[in-house]
Amino acid sequence: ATATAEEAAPASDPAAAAADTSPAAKPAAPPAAAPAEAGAGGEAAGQAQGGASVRVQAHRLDDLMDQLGELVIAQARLRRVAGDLGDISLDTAAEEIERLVTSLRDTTLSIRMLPISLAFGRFRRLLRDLSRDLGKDVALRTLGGETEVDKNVFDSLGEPLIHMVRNAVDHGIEPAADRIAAGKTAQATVTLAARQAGGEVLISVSDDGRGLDPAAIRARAVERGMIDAEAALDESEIHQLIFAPGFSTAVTVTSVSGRGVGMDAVRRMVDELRGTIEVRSELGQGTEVTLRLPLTLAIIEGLLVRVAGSCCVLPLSSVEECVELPASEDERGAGRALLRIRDELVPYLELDEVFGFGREATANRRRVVIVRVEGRRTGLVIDEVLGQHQTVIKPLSPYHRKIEGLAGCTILGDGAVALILDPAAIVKAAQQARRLVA
Amino acid sequence: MSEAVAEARAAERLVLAFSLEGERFALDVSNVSEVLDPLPATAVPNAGAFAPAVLNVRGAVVPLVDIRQRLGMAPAASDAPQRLLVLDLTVAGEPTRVAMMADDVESIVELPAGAVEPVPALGIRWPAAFIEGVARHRDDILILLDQETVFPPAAQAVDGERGLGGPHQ
Repeated sequence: ATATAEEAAPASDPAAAAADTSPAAKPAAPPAAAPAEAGAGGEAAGQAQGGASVRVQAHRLDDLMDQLGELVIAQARLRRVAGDLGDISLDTAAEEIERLVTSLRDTTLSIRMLPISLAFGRFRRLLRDLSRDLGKDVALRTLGGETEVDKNVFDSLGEPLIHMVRNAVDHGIEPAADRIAAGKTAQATVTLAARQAGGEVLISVSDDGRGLDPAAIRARAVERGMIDAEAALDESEIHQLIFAPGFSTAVTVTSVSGRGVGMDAVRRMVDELRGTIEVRSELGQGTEVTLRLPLTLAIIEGLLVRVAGSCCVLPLSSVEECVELPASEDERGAGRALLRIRDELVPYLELDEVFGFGREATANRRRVVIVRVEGRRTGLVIDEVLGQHQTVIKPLSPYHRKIEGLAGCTILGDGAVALILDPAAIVKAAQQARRLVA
Repeated sequence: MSEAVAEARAAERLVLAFSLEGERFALDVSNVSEVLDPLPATAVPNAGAFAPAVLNVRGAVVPLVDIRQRLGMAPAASDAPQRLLVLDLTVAGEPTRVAMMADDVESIVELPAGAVEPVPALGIRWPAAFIEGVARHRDDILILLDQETVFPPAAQAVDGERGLGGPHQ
């Protein structure tokens, strides 16, 4: 419980933070600096419940996870076989095993979970150094430090968060004089917040600074030849431009001479973890960058769908709803691909086209799975929804790893291999293709 | 290059002979894990013709590679009998299990020292870069594939479908 106490104090009283930081920062630093030590997870969980903890080597946790993955696959096969045979006593046993495997999975995953406060800990010091170097008065607020993420996600998180906090202080927050002139408090606030939403963890870095200037970003992107001068981009598309490699926010948005840290490093990490980034910003009011990351990397809840004879899995965390594709839309030419869903126009992609599969010649009504990518809804047209499955993610071989839109593969109950799709990558690739054509 | 390789491997070799389009090819036995009847495969979208699919070999997901494509042969007739060679290779620096289609698998052949000869420059219609050498065996010729060059994905992973117009190296 000590970790939460440490951060609760400065959060509630920014003024006390300065006095509190030096003793607090030091004990907080070592566990955050060595997050690979799996023991930290045990400790944190132990502390939360006030019980004893055990230090375990990280690779043992990985082995445990691998074996659990095999078990989940074997269990899916058992369920399938039991379903085929229709023997009641076998069914009962299979159901019991399914229940046990599910709870074993939850327990195993929880062992690998680390509270995000361990990562937040080091930022108190970073922020103090930054404030001093840049001559800005900035307070740090942390929210939801008790939110837990998988060890692998945790390990990849530190670096991008540092980029994001630096970016917020360096470029987001204006000098004290400007703040007062704008009617704000002289002391700025950077907020690190984490919360869990379904199978995802949302981690955001927000500041109450000057906000992103869409016009300036746009001008800079045009100057660099990244977009066309007449390109019609909405605000969220413009915000995404700051993640392009080499796009220096220093020159574009704020003209602060800082060593602009590439937000493309953040994007790369988030892509690797199959997460997404959302940016919300209001000119003069501040900026909030939110990372949506999967809670765990090894086992996901997936929606099993059929696309032209192939089975594919869409991560359930990115699926919002499934609707039927109206027959009138299905027969339409390629002129437009928009669906009206409850007063909202949603663009859609036909997965069989994206994948270069031939169109299946059936009379079946096709379906559209609506996914949310970078805050926007996009439909993916498929042939059939087959159900919801617990899915173990197996990596692809070097032959297929570079193919865009695939996150991995898995083995289904009947022994067939299904590909796990990465909706964010599919949508992004389609957007890029469109831009090239235009 | 083939000459040097042939001489370096002067010791006796065990190879597995298999056939493609009526020709006899061979690979080192030490890389062959097992030979199976065809398994149901899952097509991988946008993967290109060389590694078009993945399949489940005893609980592991294994890429299927099509050597015919690399050697410039026509695709196998879909109803032709096929065998599946499961190979343990090092691909792009990591140990990878790969499945490969062959028309038929014949037998393990013992090649005496010095039996593998370099490829005659004009005597072969397949890209020479993929051939390690030829060996005479029972009045017939056995073509040894160079597994260092014939299996890596690089040649086509970079530019998708194209990139294998001919032997570049």
